[in-house]
Amino acid sequence: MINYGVDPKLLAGFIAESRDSLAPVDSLLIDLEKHPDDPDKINHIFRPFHSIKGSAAFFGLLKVKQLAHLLEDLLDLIRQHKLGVTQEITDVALSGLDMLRAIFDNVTSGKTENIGFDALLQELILQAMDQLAAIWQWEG
Amino acid sequence: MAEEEKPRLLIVDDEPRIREMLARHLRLTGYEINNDPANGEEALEVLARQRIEVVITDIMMPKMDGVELLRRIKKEYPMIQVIIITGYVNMENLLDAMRHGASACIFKPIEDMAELETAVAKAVDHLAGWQQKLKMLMGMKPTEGEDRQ
Repeated sequence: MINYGVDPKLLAGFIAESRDSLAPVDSLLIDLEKHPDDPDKINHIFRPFHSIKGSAAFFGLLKVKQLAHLLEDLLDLIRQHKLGVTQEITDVALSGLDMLRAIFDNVTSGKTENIGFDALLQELILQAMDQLAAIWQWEG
Repeated sequence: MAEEEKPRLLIVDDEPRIREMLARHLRLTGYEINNDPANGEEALEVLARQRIEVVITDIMMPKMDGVELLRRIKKEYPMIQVIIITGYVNMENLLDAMRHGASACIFKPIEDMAELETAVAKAVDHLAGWQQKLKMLMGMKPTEGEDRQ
């Protein structure tokens, strides 16, 4: 495993814990489309992204931190009822989730976080920005 | 941090002379410093690219001051330790630094580097202590079959 200046065993532990915490998120996101006002569901989805965002940089996973932060912001807008749970939003969140797992796979197999990532992240940011722009327009 | 690697510091100050002086001294003390941000915005750009253990920042800087930088760091990188160095001290900014979770505050001019060295060492030890606990936790986790004696 690549050395990020962190004990490889700790890094592997963090990745394993993060994977476990994200495991139920796909189905929760799909459920959320059916029950968009369920606060427990949205909090369950929000929590792992928040934890990963706060801890990833400590393990040298700066792209993971960036992506988790973006997804957390997106979910926070849903939590505050500023963003509706549409299929497009769910798709953005699911893509982000897939990207997080892909980065974990890369790092676990000794590659860097960056492989094929920046373009995907940029795309995700642009999609999220489109959603945000729509809200700003609506609020303005 | 891995034992063979030096702890990484980020020194943020709008006065290049101060940055250079502190970096030179702290490199000799055993830390790695390979960046040169002059304000909070530049510091955040570095933090997005590099893993840093301790940030040493001035308060009065253009674009983004040290208290705002501290606030952003604690929000986005809560495990990074932040040491404030300032020549402009009033109760408000000292309390701001304390309230937002700075590890230490050191007044400029820094005539005796011992106080800064101690503050940096404490901040690094704090992280090393947590790292040690995490290692203990990983070591304590039984692998399959080990939990039955």
